[in-house]
Amino acid sequence: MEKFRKGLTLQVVIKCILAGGFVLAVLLLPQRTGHMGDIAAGFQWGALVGALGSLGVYIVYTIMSLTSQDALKKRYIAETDERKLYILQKSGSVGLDMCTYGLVMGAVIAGKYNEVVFLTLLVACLFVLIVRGALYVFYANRY
Amino acid sequence: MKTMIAELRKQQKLSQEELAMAVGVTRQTITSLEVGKYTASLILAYKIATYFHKSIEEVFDFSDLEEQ
Repeated sequence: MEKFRKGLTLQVVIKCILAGGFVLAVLLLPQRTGHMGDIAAGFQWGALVGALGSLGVYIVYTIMSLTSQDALKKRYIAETDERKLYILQKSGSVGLDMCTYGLVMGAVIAGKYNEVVFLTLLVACLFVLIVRGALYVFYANRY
Repeated sequence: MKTMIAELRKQQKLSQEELAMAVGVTRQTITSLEVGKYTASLILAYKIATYFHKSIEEVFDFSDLEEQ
């Protein structure tokens, strides 16, 4: 359980670093203006708020888990459940999540320079998300 | 794979949640095992059988595998 506790802390640090990448990309790179520039800026701020919001919820949830032994045990069971891990493995969710993060980061950066690349990456990101969701639902129903 | 988990659980008047907590999985995993959708790992099968004081063969039905 102590190993799991350290793992949770490490997960929070990694997620903070990933969210930091978003903040840097949105705030530091210069913004284009015009019709597509507005759409890209909307996406960037939406992605930023979404990433920071989900990070905040995750940190609060983790702190609540770490303060109580019962909550930590429930969290441990939920995260190490063998069926859940099997479904994630079969649907390739970890790899697809990494692809999604890369595509969103790419779309955020591309939105500041080239609208065609921005739209391409945005559609690719949506496609990956749809595939991930569909595979997860399929395998969750199968097993 | 067919299992005797639901019957054994009802005999001992246990809920799925209680059994799940005892063997370290989620309630959904116990549901999947009971309806035969999911096949337990060797470790989980051992934990469940030990919990009910039975052998693995008494809890899990391997007749389908033997036919294959």
